[in-house]
Amino acid sequence: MTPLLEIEDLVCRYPGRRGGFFRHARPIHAINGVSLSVGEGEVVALVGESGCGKSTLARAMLGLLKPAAGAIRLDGTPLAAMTRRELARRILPVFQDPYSSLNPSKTVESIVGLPLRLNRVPAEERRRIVRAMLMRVGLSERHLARRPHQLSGGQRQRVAIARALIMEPKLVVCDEPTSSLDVSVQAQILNLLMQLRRELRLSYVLISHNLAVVERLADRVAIMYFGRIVEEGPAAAVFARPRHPYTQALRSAALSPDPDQPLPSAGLGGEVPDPAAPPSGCAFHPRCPHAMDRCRVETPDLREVNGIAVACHL
Amino acid sequence: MSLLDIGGLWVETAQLPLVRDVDLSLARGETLCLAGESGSGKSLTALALMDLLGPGLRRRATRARFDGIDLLDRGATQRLRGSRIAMIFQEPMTALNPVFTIGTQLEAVYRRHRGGGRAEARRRALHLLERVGIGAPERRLAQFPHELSGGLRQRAMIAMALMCQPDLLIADEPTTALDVTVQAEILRLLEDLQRELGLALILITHDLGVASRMADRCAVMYAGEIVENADRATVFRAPRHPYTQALLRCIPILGSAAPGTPLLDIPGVMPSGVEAGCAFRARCTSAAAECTTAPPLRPVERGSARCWFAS
Ligand SMILES: Nc1ncnc2c1ncn2[C@@H]1O[C@H](COP(=O)(O)OP(=O)(O)OP(=O)(O)O)[C@@H](O)[C@H]1O
Ligand SMILES: Nc1ncnc2c1ncn2[C@@H]1O[C@H](COP(=O)(O)OP(=O)(O)OP(=O)(O)O)[C@@H](O)[C@H]1O
Ligand code: SF4
Ligand SMILES: [Mg+2]
Ligand SMILES: [Mg+2]
Repeated sequence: MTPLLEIEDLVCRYPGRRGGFFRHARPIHAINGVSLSVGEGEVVALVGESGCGKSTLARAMLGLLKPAAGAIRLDGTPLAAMTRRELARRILPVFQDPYSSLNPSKTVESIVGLPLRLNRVPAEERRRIVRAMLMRVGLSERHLARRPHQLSGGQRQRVAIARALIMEPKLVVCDEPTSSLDVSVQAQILNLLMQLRRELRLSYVLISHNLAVVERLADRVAIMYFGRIVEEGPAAAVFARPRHPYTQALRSAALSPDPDQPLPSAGLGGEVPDPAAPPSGCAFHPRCPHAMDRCRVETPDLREVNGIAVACHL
Repeated sequence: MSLLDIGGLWVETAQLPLVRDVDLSLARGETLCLAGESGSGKSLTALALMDLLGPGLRRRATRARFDGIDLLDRGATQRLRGSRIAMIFQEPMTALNPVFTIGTQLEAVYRRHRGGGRAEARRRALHLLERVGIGAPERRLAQFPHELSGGLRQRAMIAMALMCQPDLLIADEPTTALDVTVQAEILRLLEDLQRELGLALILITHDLGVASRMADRCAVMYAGEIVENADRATVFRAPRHPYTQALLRCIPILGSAAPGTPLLDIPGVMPSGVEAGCAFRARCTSAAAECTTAPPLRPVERGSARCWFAS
């Protein structure tokens, strides 16, 4: 069976700084050879250091960024061969910030109905579909005429979800959908996403810094470091026994509420690698407590053992 | 004596109060965490202290003193801002100016408040960038904000806030956009600065794991009011207010439930206007007839709580 979404050896670059002496600056490799698949109805989480390329990967999946190399296929068809409109009804985003991602001057009804209008759905039918979708995400008639600033953060995120789902997409790419919300509203939004997943047979890519949330929601997790996947497998298994030293550091820095515990002393230390001057060998070696000579020269491949893939020489 | 002492703080629009009757006090070297529902007024409380409220919002207070200085005097607040009281905003991109280099911005803060020459400002900037764990600081000083990753930008913001060696730092969700390892490093840095410099810290955060390890005291807000204010052991071990109790139950914990188990929430939503009675009444499992009258913030063992039944 072909997966819903298939990413193969993806490379994404941003141009280096232009102008003056920097005209010939080297491009920044934000994604450096990523392969990942998302099955129908599956939730795949992306976790990793700030700046490791999660949002860049999301942008490539949404067709908002043209990869420098590699391929992304949806149901076997390369994204590059699909029209913008075709793509925009099958893969949709939900972003982190519900404040800035909704047009402040429009009403909820018009924000959620916009994709339908662009697809020339008649007004009467549009009204009906928008109302049904708002009910689905836990909003009501009362909210139709409101503007974003008249809604709470959680309600705004529900509007963003309604807008993403109105065209009945196959895949929803959620980039930190709840990191600006409190734990109760976060639970309401994530439970809603999971309920809609069952009802509409949706697949999700979920970007999150919250390991406990990922463990609960995701079927699989891909841990990223500096533009590559360093570990991938079933979320619960990966966090129960992290194999890659970076995943281990992440795991031990996750804070559960405990007033008797100090901050964890273990940390990565060192510096986030500079994309303009990438480290040789394994990109993690300058910060890895187990680094060996081999790690400094040879980039480890992602190798699978018992359903968990790890890129590490250990 | 406390460094900061706020009493009866209100923030309101022409139609609606958004922050109601907030009391806060903080000693040197102490950490106060502000937690609570999204939209409960945490950021507005901080912005009101700094006199940085947006248009259409008014503040008033019965008492607002910082080290003996009256914060209700706008001129005095303006002089303290950026020097003795510094703030880290949630989204560093909105606080950093995109058209100036990191170095220019760090130096400008210092020279505005401290005077002194460029060389002195630059030395301090280099020192602080190193302190916040930014390697190759000379190169970073020459970079523009968009050329830094989220984590580096956030650290640069922290360095900027520390340029004038403030006595009080207000940090609004300083680590939400960061992964947990970078988060741990930044929190440890803040702790070190408190020990070394006696820095007082107001930390606004949704991350109760962070609050439980950083706070000396923790104030929990709901619908514009403080509903509980107590030391960290009380808030996280034996919370008195039903909202705090319900909120803590919602925290997902790694390895504690089978994958696919729904997350716990507090059913219902926070009221958006002011309602009669206790603001938490509609969602409270302990609500009774008394609750149609709004409870005051009452002293309870080791703190205070805004509930008729808290003791
Ligand atoms: N428009 C851009 N121009 C140049 N470089 C960029 C641009 N956008 C991102 N980058 C760089 O690409 C890398 C990956 O960025 P990306 O936003 O994908 O990270 P991320 O994993 O989403 O991080 P975060 O967790 O902080 O959101 C970073 O080094 C970043 O500085
Ligand atoms: N300029 C404004 N005009 C009207 N209402 C406002 C304004 N600014 C904020 N509000 C409202 O005031 C309430 C409190 O906002 P505030 O930003 O302080 O919440 P918060 O506790 O910081 O929430 P979060 O955790 O989501 O950051 C919210 O309901 C918000 O919608
Ligand atoms: S006063 Fe009543 S409704 Fe309010 S928190 Fe206490 S028990 Fe619940
Ligand atoms: Mg991102
Ligand atoms: Mg806020």
